[in-house]
Amino acid sequence: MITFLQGIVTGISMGAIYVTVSLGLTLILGVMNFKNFAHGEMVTVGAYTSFLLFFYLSISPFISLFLVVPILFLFGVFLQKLIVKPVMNRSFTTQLVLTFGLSIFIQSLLSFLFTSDLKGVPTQIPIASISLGGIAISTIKLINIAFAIALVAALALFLKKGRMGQFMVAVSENRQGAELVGINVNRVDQFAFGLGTALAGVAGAMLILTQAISPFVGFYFLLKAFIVLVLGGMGSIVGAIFGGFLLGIVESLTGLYLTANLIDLVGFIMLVVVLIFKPTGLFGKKL
Amino acid sequence: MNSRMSTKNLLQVVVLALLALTVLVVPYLGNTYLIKIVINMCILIGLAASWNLVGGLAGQLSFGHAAFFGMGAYVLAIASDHQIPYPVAFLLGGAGAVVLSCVAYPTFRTSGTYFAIITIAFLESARLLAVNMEWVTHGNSGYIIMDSFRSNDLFPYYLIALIAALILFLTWLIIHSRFGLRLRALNQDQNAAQDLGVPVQRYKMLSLAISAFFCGVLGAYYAKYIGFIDPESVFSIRWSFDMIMMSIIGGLGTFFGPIIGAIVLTIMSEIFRLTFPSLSLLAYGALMMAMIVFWPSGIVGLFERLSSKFQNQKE
Repeated sequence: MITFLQGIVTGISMGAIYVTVSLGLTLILGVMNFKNFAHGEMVTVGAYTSFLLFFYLSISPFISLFLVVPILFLFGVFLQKLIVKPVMNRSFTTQLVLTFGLSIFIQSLLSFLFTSDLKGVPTQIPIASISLGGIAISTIKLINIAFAIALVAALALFLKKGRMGQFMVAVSENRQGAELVGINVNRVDQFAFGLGTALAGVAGAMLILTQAISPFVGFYFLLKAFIVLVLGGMGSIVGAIFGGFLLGIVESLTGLYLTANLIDLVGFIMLVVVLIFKPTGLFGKKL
Repeated sequence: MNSRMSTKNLLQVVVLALLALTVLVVPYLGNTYLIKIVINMCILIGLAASWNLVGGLAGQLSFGHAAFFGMGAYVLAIASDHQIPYPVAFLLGGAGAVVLSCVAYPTFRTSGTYFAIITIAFLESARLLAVNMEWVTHGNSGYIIMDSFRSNDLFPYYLIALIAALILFLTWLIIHSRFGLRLRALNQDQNAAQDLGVPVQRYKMLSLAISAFFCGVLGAYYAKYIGFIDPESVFSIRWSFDMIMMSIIGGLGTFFGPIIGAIVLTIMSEIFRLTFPSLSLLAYGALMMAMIVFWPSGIVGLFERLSSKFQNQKE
C-alpha cells in the first residue's frame, strides 16, 4: 500500500511538469489555433536557461523558476514575430513542417553551443524527504507540485480577471468577433504565444531540478503534451490538468509494477486508444 | 500549352538521363567514397518516392514511415539468422512492413495534427518494442547481420540502383493511374471525393500498404548492406524527417519531386559533412523552415511557375 501511494506521489510530481507544459500548448492552440511542434524545445530552452543562470551567474535554480518566466516570455514573443505570424494564414502542412524545422534547429543549436552532454544543476536543499504517514516525499518533488498548482491558479485567475486574459478567452471563442469589437488580435496572439512559451520554460526549469537534461529532452515532452491534450480534450484547461496528472500517475505506476522500459509506451497506448474510441478527449471543451 | 508540356517533359528526360548516366559511370571511376554516396542516394530516392505516395499524393503527412523501414531491417536480420536467401528476405521485409501498416490502419481515423502525433507515437512504440523485445531483436545491443554484403563489391551497388529504379517505375505507374488520380482527389477534398464514390479509407490504406512495402524492402537492403542495426539507427525519426524533407524540397505529390529532393539532400549533406560537420543538422533545420515558407511547392513547382511565366511572356 505504501509503495502504491509512493508511486502515486511520484506520478503527481511528474504530472505537475506535464500539466505545466500542456497548459502552454493548449493556450497557444486555443487562442491562435496554431500547432507548435517546437513546443518541446521551449521546455529544453527553459531548462538550459536555468542551467546557464546557475553556471554563469550562480543563481539558485529555485530562483530561476521565477526568472525563467519573463525570459521565456520574451523569447516566445520574439518567435511569434519572427516565425509564427508570417505563417498564421498558411496551410497546416506549412505550420507543421516549419515548427518541426524549428525544433531540429533549436536542438542542434543547443548541442552545437553546449555539446550534447547531460547538464544538471546542484540543488542545495537537501534531497532529504519529508515523511507523511510513512510515505517519503522528496522536498524537490513537493516544490514542483506546489509551484505547478500555484501556476495553474494564477493562470485561471488571470484568464478570469485579467484584461489580457479576458481578451485571450474572447479571441479563443471567436477570433473575428474579437477583432470586430476592437481587440488587437495580433497583440493577444503575441501575449498568448509568449505565455505558452513561458509555461513550457518553467516546466523545463522544474525538470532540471529533478534530472539532468540533454538538448533532445524536449521532443518527448512535445509528445507527452499532446497525449495530455488528447486525454483531456484539445483547448480545455481543466482537461489539461486532469490529463497531465493522469499521465504522470499511470506512467509512475507502470514503472513501479511492470518495467521502467515501458513507461513511454503506456502514454502512446493511451493516446491511440483515446484517439480511436473518443477523439474529442475525456473533456472535449473549449478554453 | 503544348510546347510547355514538352519543355517540362524534356527536363524530366534530362534529369532521368543524367541520373542513369551517373549511376552507370560512377563504378568506373573506382572511387569507393562516390559509390557509397550513390548507394545512399538510391536508398533515399526509394524512400522519398514511397513516402510521397502517402504524404504527397494522398496528403497524409506521416511521420511514422521510419517504422516500416526499421521493420524491414529487422525482418532481414532475423531471416539471415535462419539462412533464408536474401532476395526472399527482402520480400519478407516488405511483407513485414505491410503487416505493420495494417496495425497502423486505425491512424487513418484521425487527420491533421492528430495524424502527425499518432504516427510519431506509432514509430516511437515500434522503437520501444524493438528495444524491449530482446529475445527477438537483441535490444539496444543491436543485431549483427550474418553474411552482409561486402562493401568493396559492386554487386550491392547495382542491386540498389535496380531496386530504386523499380520503385520509381512503380510509383510512376501509380501516380499516373486512376488510383493515383483518386488519391490526389481525396487529398484535395476528402468529403467531395467520398461523395463521388472514392472509397477513401480503403484507398488511403492501400497507398500506405504499397508505400510500407517499398520502405520495408529498402530497410532490408539497408540492413544487408550496413551489416549492423540497432533500434536507434533504423527506427530513428530522422528517416521520416528525411523522407518529408526530400519530398518538400523536390515538390510534394509529384513524380520528380522526391528524385530531385533526394539528389539535392544527398549533395548538400555531403558538402556539410565535409566542411562543417557540427553545423549540418543546424542547416538541415534552417533549410526545412526556409523551404516550406518560401518554396512550398518545391523545385518542381518553382520550375513549373518559371516556365509558365516564360510562356506568358512569349505570347
